[in-house]
Amino acid sequence: MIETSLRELLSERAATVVGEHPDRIREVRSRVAGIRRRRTAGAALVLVLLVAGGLTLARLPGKPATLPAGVPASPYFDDGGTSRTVTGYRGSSYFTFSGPATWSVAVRPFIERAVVVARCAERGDLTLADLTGPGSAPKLSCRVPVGDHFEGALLIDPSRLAGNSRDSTVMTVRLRPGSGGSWSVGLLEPLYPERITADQVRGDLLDGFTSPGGGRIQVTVPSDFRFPRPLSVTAVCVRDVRLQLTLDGRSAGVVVCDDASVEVYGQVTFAVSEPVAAGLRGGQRVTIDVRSIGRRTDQWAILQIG
Amino acid sequence: MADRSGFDEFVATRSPALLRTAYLLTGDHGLAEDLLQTALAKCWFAWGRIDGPPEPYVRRALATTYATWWRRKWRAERPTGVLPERPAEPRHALEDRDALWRALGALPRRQRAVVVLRYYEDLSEAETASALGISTGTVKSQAARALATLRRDDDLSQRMGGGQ
Repeated sequence: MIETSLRELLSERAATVVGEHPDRIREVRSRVAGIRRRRTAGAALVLVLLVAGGLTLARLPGKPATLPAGVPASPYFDDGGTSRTVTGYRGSSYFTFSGPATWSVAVRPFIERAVVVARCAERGDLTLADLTGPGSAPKLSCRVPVGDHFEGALLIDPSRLAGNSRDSTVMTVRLRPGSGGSWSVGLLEPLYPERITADQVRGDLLDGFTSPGGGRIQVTVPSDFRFPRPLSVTAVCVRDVRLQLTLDGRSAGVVVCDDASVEVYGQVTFAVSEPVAAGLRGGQRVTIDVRSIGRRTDQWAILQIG
Repeated sequence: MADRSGFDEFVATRSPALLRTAYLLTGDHGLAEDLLQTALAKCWFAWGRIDGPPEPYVRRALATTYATWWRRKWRAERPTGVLPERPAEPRHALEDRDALWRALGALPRRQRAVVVLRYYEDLSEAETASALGISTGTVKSQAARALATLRRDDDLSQRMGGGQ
C-alpha cells in the first residue's frame, strides 16, 4: 500500500534533519521586529487615509449614497440575497443576520487590502466592532439602492481583522447594524496584488524588474519529467500581465494573469503547450524566451519551471 | 502587553520536531528553516492568547504559511555534497523511496501538506482540517487526490508494482 510506503518515507526523510539552529530565538525576534515595523507603517498609512476621508466627508451634507473610493462597483448581492461574483475578487465568509451578531471571517495571509460588502433591507450604518488599529469600530454605510435592497462597502486592511483573534486565519468581528431587517455581509479579497516588489520575488528565474519586456531563461527539464505529465511554469504577476513563451524556438503558449487563471493570490501556474511538452525529455537543456505582450508593467516574475 | 513567557522554552524544546515537519513540507533544508522562523515569528504575536498547549497552534501556522506562501521560490531538492547516512537497504528499495519523494515533491502544496500531516504527524482528518483551516471534506478529497496522483505516477507505479 502506498500509504505504508509514505509513512516509511516521511519518517526516513524526517530523520535526515539534524542539527538545530544555534540562535533560533534571536532569528525569530529579528523577524518579529521586522513585522512590527511593517505593521506600524501600515497603521500610519491607514490613519492618514482615515483622516483624509473624514475631512472629505465632513464637507459633504448628509451621508453619501455612493460607494467609497477604491472598492469595486456593486451589485454584490442579488435581490434574493445570494452573493454575486465580483470581477477581480474572491468572495467569502458570507453571513446573513439581523440585530447584533458575531461574524467569523476567514482571511488569507498576505492580502494587503480587502473589502467588506453589505446588503441591507433598510438604509443604515453597520458598525464593525473589535477591529485593531486606528478607528477600531469603523462604520460601513449601506445606502446605495440596488434592486429591492441597499448595499455598501468598506475598504479595510485585513491585518486589522487579524489582530483581534488568537486564531491566525479565522477572525471574529462583532456587527452592530444601525437599521432593522435582514443584513448580509461578505468579504471580497482581490485575486491579484496591486504591486509586487522585487524583494518579494527575490531568487526568481526572470522578472520584469530587470527585464520589463521579457528575457531568456535556460533551464534543465527535471530528470523525472515524462510526458504527459505537464511541464509547469509558475509566475507571480499583477492583473492583465500576459507572458508569451517560446521554448527552443517553438511557441509554448501564453501565461495569462486573469481571474480564471489565478491559483493563489497573484500566482499563476501555466502548463507548457502539449505539442511542445511532448517533445521534451528529462535532463534536456532548453531555452525559454519570455516576452511581455499584455499590460506594460514590470510587475511580474517567473518563479519556477518544472 | 501579552504574556509571552514560555515562548523561548517552547522554541528551544520543540523546534527540532517542527523543523522536521517543515522539511517534509518544503523538501528543502534551507526553506524549512525559513518557513519555521516565519511561522514562529507569527506565533510570537499571538502567544499570550493561545489557550491550551501551543504546539497545535504553531503547527497550524506552519502548515497554513506553507500552503499559501508564494513569496519565496520553492525550489526542488538541491544537490548536496554530503549524503545523509542511511541504513543499508537493497538498491531498488532506495530508488523506490527516491521516486516516491520526487512524486511527493510534485504534488500541489495543499495536497502535500495534507499528506505530511496525515501520514507523518499522524493527525486525524479532523485535526488535519483544523491545522490547515479547511473542512474535513476538503482534507478527504485532497488526500484522495494526492494518493491518486502518486499511484498514477508512471515511474513510481512501475517501481512499486503497478501502483499498489
